[in-house]
Amino acid sequence: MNPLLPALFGSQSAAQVLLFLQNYGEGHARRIATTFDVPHMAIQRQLRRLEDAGVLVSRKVGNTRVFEWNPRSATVNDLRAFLEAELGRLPWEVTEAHFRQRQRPRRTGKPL
Amino acid sequence: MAITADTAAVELAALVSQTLEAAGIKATLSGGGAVSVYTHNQYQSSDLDFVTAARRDALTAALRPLGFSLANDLRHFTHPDTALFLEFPAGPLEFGDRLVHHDDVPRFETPWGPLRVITPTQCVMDRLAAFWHWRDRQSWDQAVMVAAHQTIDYEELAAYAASESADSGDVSRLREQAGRQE
Repeated sequence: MNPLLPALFGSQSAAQVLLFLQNYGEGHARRIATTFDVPHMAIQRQLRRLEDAGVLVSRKVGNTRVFEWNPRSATVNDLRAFLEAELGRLPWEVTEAHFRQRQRPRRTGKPL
Repeated sequence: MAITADTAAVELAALVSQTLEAAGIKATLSGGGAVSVYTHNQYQSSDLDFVTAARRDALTAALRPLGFSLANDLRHFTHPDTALFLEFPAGPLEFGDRLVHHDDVPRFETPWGPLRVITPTQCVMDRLAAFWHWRDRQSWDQAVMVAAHQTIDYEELAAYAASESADSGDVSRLREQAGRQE
């Protein structure tokens, strides 16, 4: 990751959360933590902080709290354009390892 | 031709397509299998999805001579000598509001004979739809790969993007990225 990002956003986990959400559109703490192999609590803390600041909004899906961008914030739209450019600058190994999880549906029972 | 662990996806797809056609079944290869065909296996799909309206018993009978049998879940067909498996999603074959009939799908000539497969432009549409609807960036990468290997109708793609209310800039970004990979 670009070392400027943790400096800009205050921590490595904040940068990871923001890049994850820009890449996948939404996410929950456990999935983000698993993706980067970092402690769940650190991610949880950042998600709550960003929600409190109005950057993110959340909803419950079953027992899980799913976070996504606050669509009503113009600042968020500008931030997302910046993050998109950063995603494009990542080395392919990093992209492949963290930002290419399958998102499209796979039918129940499919062998993979 | 014997099916083995080394049989490539495109070779198997052509064989299955011709076998089904000989049995009077129209089925069109779609999904990741089409991506494999058009990227010369740069993208390796583990399954071949043939869209068809044929009944399961007709498919079972047609595929038996090749050594494929219906799995216990009654959804996919497996073969003892290859990890590639077959699925037959029910039709229709459609891309947004574009309904495609099997007879309108041009046969693609492979080194192993003809294969009824969606066109490269439809294949890119299919992947872009997954990118737009589920933010699936794997699908974006596959769309770029197909566009880098094949001739794409970008005007048709732009019209498709508009009909899906998608970001029209995605089509030009796709073209630019594909150009860099050629």
